[in-house]
Amino acid sequence: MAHRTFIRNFIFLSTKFSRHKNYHNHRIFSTTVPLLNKKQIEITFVKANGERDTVKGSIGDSLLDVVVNNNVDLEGFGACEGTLTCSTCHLIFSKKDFDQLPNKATDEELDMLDLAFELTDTSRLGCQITLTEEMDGLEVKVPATINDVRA
Amino acid sequence: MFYSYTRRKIVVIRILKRYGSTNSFHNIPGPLSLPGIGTLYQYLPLIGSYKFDRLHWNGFKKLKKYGPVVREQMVPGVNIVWLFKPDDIEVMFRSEGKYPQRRSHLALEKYRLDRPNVYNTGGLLPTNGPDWLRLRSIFQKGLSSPSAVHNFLPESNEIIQEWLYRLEDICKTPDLVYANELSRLFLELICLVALDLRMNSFSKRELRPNSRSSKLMKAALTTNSCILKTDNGPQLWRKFETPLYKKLRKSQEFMEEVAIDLLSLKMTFFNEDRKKPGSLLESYLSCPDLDFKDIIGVVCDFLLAGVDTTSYTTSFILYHLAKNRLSQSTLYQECKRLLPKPDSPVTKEVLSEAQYAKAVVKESLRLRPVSVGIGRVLDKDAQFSNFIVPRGTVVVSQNQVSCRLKEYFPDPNEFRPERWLKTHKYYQQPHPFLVIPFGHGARSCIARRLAEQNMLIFILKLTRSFKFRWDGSDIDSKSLLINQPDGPISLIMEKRSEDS
Repeated sequence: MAHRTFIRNFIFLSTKFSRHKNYHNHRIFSTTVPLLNKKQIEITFVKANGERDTVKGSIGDSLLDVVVNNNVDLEGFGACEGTLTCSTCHLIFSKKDFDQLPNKATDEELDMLDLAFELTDTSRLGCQITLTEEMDGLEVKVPATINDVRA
Repeated sequence: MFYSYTRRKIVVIRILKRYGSTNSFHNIPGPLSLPGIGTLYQYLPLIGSYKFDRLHWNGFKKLKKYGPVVREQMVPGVNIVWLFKPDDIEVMFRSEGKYPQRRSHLALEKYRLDRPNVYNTGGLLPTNGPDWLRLRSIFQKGLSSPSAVHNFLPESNEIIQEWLYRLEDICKTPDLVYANELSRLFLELICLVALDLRMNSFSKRELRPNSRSSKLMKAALTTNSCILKTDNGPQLWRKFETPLYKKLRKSQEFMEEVAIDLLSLKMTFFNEDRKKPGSLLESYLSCPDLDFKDIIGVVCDFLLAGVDTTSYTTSFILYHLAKNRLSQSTLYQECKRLLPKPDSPVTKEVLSEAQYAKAVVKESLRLRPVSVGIGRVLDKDAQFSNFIVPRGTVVVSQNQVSCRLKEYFPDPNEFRPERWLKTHKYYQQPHPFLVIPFGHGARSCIARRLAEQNMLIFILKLTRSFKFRWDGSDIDSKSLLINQPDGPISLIMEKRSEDS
């Protein structure tokens, strides 16, 4: 027991003095495993008011990573940080792009999409779309309501 | 009562005529609140019409009497608004803002904040605002996404298989207390995730009533049963140590002692310089933004929120399957197709194909959710049906009540997993905000996918090896914070022969 108490005190002391806390700027930078291949492609986000934002993203990143890394101004986008517990990274694809997406939505993603605003037949969650080389020049629509509800 | 209700209705109609379609907060109907005691008198035995531990009955009565939006002052001056319509529930979630706020576990928060030498914060449950987001953001990494929980598959399979082997030996014991056996299983599973170790809860030593695991299960249960009463009462515990608060303190002290012991042990063997963090705990330990005290807090949160919730939900699933032989045999067909042998592991491929098992879990959660609904403190003014509710108000959805209404589900009281299978004739897409047992959005259950995965592995493996039926009276739910069966889990288990 004395041994345990010693360890406990030791840990408390050591954590007390070696704390380097960073409470601010706590956005994650990648929700997916980074690939060595850092080839970049261009993605355009089209907001509801018609505003277009063309940014670069690395192959292997998710569309949510692209938004976060480029500070694309979409208030409230990706509130759950890619853990599939919200539907705020809802994006709408063109029919052609939608059909060419490499993976189909899982049951979990479909359940979350049901809870999204303005659901369409070509909706997906940005956190579940991983960039591939073929997606260069992709255009996606951001539903209006994200900005309205999470202001 | 009838008189006052009609009178109120007349007033409402008058105001509606004057102000058009919206109506003010104070006109929301609800039980009469008396000065000094609020509506608490309504919950007293004999005189009151509500029961403290039957939240879904209370909710149903309030809906029938006052309509789909109800305002209540349980304690004078503190308003709670109950929501029954899925559209209003959707508005609640859309109004939660960047830091969805809850008002619960207040006594637990006090306990932790009174001990700054052990805890940094009140933990994930009571903390709100940017502090909550900081904790949530760090702790959900490696825990919350469906792909992250796949990492726990091999060991979870192993533990559940061990439990099933034990079940073979003990299933013929008369009056076997399944509730305890299930708690033991889920304690073992949650300790694996939170502490990265096996408690060996099924060993002879741990099965004794005074063992560490037995006391741990009891401590979690005691704490949870104090939360609702300390949250919704007059909060005298803020001024002096009430008996209820003392109970909470004692049980928390035990949990904390175990957490510190096991974590210290873990840390003596933990090498921070290792290149890649392995387990979830190791990733917490090597995270520069967390210190030991943050981790003690989260381990206690895991133990508090991870054992009873899943074991009660699983009990209800077993109840429904035992009472509905047809559903059980459909599930068995699926198990046989996906698991070639009784001890085959449940892999992520199996999970992705286990459509019927998923429907079983969902349907059971529709009828018997973990809690009666979801609570939020409004981040901005919101309109529910015709009423404007100001920001700062506590709003609680009543999903458990609404999920059993005819207007939303045909034959609402029937257990019918087929209604969730998109190809089945019973399938009708319900309003998406009706069945949300884990909540929705950034503050939804942090371990939702883990809980779902563990329950799926469990029912798949159990049904693959056992046939079971119900041998007792019907059970309903009662709530000491979370819903639990109000009677014994009376199962009769029979091992399936290899080729049946």
